Amino acid sequence: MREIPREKSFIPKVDYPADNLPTPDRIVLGEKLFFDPLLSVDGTISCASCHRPPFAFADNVSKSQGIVDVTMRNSPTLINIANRSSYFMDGGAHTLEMAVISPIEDHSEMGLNVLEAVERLNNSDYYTRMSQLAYRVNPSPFVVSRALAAYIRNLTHYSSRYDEYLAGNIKALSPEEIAGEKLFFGKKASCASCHEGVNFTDNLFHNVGLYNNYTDKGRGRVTLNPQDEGKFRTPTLRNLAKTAPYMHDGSIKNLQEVIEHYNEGGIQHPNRDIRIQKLQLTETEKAALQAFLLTL
Amino acid sequence: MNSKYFPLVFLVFLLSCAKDKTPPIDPVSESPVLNFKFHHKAGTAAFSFDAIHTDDFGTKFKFTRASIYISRPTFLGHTPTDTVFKSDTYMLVTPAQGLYAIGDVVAGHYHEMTFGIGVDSVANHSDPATYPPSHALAYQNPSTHWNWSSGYIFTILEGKYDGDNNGVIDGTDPTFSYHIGTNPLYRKQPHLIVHSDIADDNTYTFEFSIDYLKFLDGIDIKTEDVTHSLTNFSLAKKIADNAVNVITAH
Repeated sequence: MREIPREKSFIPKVDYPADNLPTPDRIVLGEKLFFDPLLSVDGTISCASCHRPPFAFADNVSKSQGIVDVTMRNSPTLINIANRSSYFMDGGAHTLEMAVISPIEDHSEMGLNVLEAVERLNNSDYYTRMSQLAYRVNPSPFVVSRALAAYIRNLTHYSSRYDEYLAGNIKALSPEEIAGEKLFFGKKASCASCHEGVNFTDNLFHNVGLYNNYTDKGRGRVTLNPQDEGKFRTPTLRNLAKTAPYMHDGSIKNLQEVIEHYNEGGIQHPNRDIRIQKLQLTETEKAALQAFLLTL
Repeated sequence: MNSKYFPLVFLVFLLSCAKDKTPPIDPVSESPVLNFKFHHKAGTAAFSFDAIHTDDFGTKFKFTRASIYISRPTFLGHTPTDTVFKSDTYMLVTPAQGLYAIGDVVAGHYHEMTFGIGVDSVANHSDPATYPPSHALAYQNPSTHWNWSSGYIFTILEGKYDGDNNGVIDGTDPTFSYHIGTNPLYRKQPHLIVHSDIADDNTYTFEFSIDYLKFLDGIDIKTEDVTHSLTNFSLAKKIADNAVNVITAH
């Protein structure tokens, strides 16, 4: 008998902000903006340059190429991120609407002041027309932030093989994958103590013992609290097969090495989460765990 | 007279009588209006981006950018508990602008005043996209907002300094960059005496001096040339602490 509660297959209801309820026009406008390099200072980079659809709107390199430099962190997936209480790996942005402006203005990413972006949009018949249709105003920072957020909030995916399995198709997973599932939720690997819920994340910030000295302070960068140094948001595990390389800086290139990192208990750090301990997984168990993770 | 016009004539008569019997109404008083005027200074001289200054450690420097958020001025009577008026105004003060509208206030004796240096913690995490373009907290160009931490940059001071000690500041000299923000670096202006009677139907202007050199008191630009608050927080704190001495009332 499986120990996995059925409610994990529940697709969460999206909490839309009152000033940005989704409409087809808003989502279409957001999609157009997302793929438009007009939002970068030299017209070479769009949101989709780093959040690439074939890779679950993540990227397949450790750090993506911005207009002048690589990005500070690994590009995370944008799928199923609607209901978070904060955004970015350090939780620095309070809403998705605020988060989407950051890469546009970031000097190493798209490098364009949002007011200049708006000026460009206002010179476009398409964007002024779509902006009026979607928000009844001409392009503005409000329109750019809301439309991009509306599009990203609409990027959902709850039809993995594991979803099929939870929905009752017991043949959707192999015996090895089911063994991996038991490890994932069981006490020995205990992955689900952080990777919980329908998106396999508690959305909290943890230091997983990746380094003994973090150049990127993670959550500590936002809170200025030394006890938050090296803590990053638990990433979703959905679409793992498409989102390598892994960790906040893309420093681990494949899933096998990630499992090895956790099996070894990580590197000693004062803020390392107490749950990061040697797991003593056998080779068979590690293979099963990896097989399960690739079904998410 | 044709009888069909009689009701109209009668109505006009009635209204005329009623008007005659109404006592005269005093004109409605308008709320007083308040402005702030900032005199931008570098020491005793008028502030100029072309001027060369010397820090406390002998290094010559010049500013290339300066701005400071001033928020929600509060006006007090003769005792610190006697609040006469609280304004919700936010100002992005830059050397390019002298006059800032506070808007309608209430009549009374304004003895002292204070304001926030920076943006209070509630507004600090608000969404710039939700403000009208003319609002100080709307998106600005160049930017005064950190999108990555959803917060405003309270004070921005940028410039160049004479890194090679040749006495001139030119293209090869290094830059300094001080971006002060985050809630712990929000400061309250110590009370300024304004001692003004504010009456209805009048416009008033409170005048202040803002001395940009005072931001840099005790700072060795050559060795402390950058903080964006989260990097080199102790330097950012020093500048935030200096900010309470920068503004004086006339």
